Amino acid sequence: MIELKHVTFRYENAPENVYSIHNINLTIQRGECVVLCGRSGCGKTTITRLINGLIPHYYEGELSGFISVNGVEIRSQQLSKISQYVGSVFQNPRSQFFNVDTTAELAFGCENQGLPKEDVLERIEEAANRFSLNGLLNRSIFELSGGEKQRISCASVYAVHPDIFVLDEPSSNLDPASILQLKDVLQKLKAEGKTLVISEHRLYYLLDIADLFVWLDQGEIRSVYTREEILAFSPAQISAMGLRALDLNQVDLATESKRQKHTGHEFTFQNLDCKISGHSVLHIQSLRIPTGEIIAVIGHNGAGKSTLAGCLCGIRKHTGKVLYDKTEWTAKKRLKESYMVMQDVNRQLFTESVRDEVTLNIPEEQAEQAENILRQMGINELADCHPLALSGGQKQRVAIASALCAGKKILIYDEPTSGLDYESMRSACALIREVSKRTELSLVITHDLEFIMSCCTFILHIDHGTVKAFYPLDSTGKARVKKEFLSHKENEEEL
Amino acid sequence: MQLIEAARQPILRIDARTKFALLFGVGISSLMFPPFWLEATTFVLMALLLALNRRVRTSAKFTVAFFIMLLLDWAVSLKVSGGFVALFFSLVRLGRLMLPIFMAGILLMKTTSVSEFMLSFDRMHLPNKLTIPLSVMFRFIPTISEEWHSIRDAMRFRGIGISVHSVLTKPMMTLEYTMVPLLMSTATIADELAAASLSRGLDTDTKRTCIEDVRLRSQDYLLILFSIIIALTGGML
Amino acid sequence: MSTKTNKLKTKDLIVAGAFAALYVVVLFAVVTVMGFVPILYLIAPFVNSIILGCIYMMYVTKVPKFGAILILAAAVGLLTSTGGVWVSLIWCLALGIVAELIVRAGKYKSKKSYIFSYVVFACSSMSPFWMLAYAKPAFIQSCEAYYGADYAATLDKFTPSWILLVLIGIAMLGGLIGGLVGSKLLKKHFQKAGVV
Repeated sequence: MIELKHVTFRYENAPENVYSIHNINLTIQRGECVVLCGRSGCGKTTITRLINGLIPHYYEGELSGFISVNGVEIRSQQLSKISQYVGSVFQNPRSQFFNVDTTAELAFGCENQGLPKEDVLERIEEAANRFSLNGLLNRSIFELSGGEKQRISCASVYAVHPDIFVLDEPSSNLDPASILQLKDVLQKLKAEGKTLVISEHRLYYLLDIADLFVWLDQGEIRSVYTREEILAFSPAQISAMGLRALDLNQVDLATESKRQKHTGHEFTFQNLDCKISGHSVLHIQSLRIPTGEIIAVIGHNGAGKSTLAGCLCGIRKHTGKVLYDKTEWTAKKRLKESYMVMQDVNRQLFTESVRDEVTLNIPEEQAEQAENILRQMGINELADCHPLALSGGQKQRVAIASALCAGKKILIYDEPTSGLDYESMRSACALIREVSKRTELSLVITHDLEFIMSCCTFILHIDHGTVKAFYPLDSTGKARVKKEFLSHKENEEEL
Repeated sequence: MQLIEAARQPILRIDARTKFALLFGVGISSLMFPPFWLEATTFVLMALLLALNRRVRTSAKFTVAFFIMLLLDWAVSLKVSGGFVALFFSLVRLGRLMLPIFMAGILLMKTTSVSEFMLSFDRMHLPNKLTIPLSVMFRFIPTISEEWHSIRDAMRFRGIGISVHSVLTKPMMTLEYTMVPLLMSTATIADELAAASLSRGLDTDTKRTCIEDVRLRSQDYLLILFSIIIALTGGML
Repeated sequence: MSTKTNKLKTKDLIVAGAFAALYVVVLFAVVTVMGFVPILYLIAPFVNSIILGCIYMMYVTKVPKFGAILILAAAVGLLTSTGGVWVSLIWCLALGIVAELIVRAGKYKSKKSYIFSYVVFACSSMSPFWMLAYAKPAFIQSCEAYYGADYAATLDKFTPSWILLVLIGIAMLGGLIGGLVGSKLLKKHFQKAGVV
């Protein structure tokens, strides 16, 4: 049983009087599945950290109130002890593996406890069978997809046999098929009587599992809903709470079709072929993309979406041609004309202020319009701030503004809405639509159906390195893409 | 259980300590310019060990490189004398001597799990404060190269890539644009990794175990003996 | 910056491992790139000291505790000595101890002591060159057998033993520049952004 009584917490680096959570009272019974939901920054992650002991043992700050897990006050317990009965899965699969190969990772928690070798091997075997991981054992973590990594981290936590599982936005980096796999894992855990605490704003995959939904806002618990209660809300009410759609089937009802104006130009790919260490990972015989559109690039992880983006913007070597109308654009030309907004925007911010960032390495006359662009992006007041000090959404805006200032014609977004709550997703939509009017081509690699429905105008479906389909997102197109997402049967693991 | 074991098992298991000994032994001996028969023996041994640890392709690549360098040395270098050509061929020979060192390095880094590292360091009686950083370091090297590739791509979009030109004309700026994202990524990932591994009990007082059998077998003793001998006698034989 | 306890915690050890990895990766990358041209290879310690300065400064600011620099020294020493230059392990550890003492004298707060400690620590970037000190006779001998005495003599002339002192000198000079640049970058970016 987990008990939180009058818990208030402020991170040590936060300003005075800015509390992440305030007066939280929450009791979670053994075997329950509780979902903590709400907007980004509502305090849901902080609560998960209170339960797994990272607060106050890792993240320091000002903590008051009483927290007990399985009858033990968390402050008096060492982190290594807590880890024996509380298992944690984190948001970013990239940074939660201590080992470089999967089997060692599965063993890690047990090894830390000093269990004998035979027991550890038995537990790995058990976890591998439970989550059908046999094809994933003995692999390097660098070659796994996000979904596979998330399954490995669930299984490696499972191997320690904790009673309580704490998951912090586990779905934010996953494609729909992987989310279904995650759901399957969670269902199995629940069936075994494990207590699950999940912080999440994407609820659709949790509806069959969760017992209670705790809605937080500005660090306080506003209300607690049962499954029936939350299902009774209309899609508009759910959106107003900052949550993502409960039912992917309903998502397009709320949004109207907004086709972009055709500018009459087009990009043509001819015999494009890209090889990685001798294997052809992308082959496109011929593809014509009209300009002025917002194109959603969909497909499984590893289907070749990023390779396509890399080829288009000229950073990946390939054979074949890319034409703009009738003239060929060489890789060099395309690199000059394109920009990719990466998933981890931290990697593409270089300077000491937002103004410097957007005017970096561009000619004087273009730099003059910088102020204008900053205003349009809604970040003119941040012009003197350091880019690294901004929030995730603001960083994204700075990156896009820098592309606009440089007069880039092709803009590629790599999963711009992963981990975003409803409102942030909508504002990313508005932003991308706005930007698309000033550029020739917007390509969005995404797994987010809600986002596709409210923002994109074309679907480019990549599968096994080829174009499976390319169609406009009109009413038939919408039905088609929805079918693609919903009829998602779990793909057999490709070994 | 069989399934896990069979796929994991290298054909000839050697301990991490042995791999360290080999790396040092081969390194010291190579730098003392061993006679050809010893160089060749060392090379063949390293190639075999790589292959036996399921790195057959790497082993094959090194073998090809070794023979090309050997051919260059034998077929061409004897016909030229003095000057820069000779310098070139002495560099080829130097490069050839380096091959076994690289192979020993790959053997250590690629066929040893982080938890094996930790336990081996522990057995070597390294202080606890060194065991974790060194193990994390080996784990982090591929992460950094991954980060670096993305950062370099990001730089190219902004036209601020690293080139001979940029390094010569504006070195400090190039340094800044490269290091800022790299430091930022490293700091963030390190913090997240620390949180994740602490929540999984890394900070424990109990003695860690390891699913690998960390012990010295007869092949280990032989290889360590070999390392010591070549290190001591490499130049003198 | 947490200065509550001056003891290394597991968290610090992981950060240390990460920064040590970054440090050695950059160190080896620079040496490899410059190694293509033999003359440039000789100024690699200078260039490395400058570049590595920001990594060092960021690391010591993030982990301002006793032992942090020693861990980095051990890691750098271990990796640079793998090429057979076992002297470099001892060299790096010695530098690490001195650097640690300097920072300790500044009570882990003084920025000047950090920069000064790096001037010392930066000498680790020339550690692979210790092989010149003891591997040269063997190399010259082997060249003589291969390419004749003339060639060996030329080579000998180009690498006198005092070159080690020159290398230490340029490494320290690079260290001073690197330390200053690193501390400036830190102030300009990471402190302004509130990362450290």
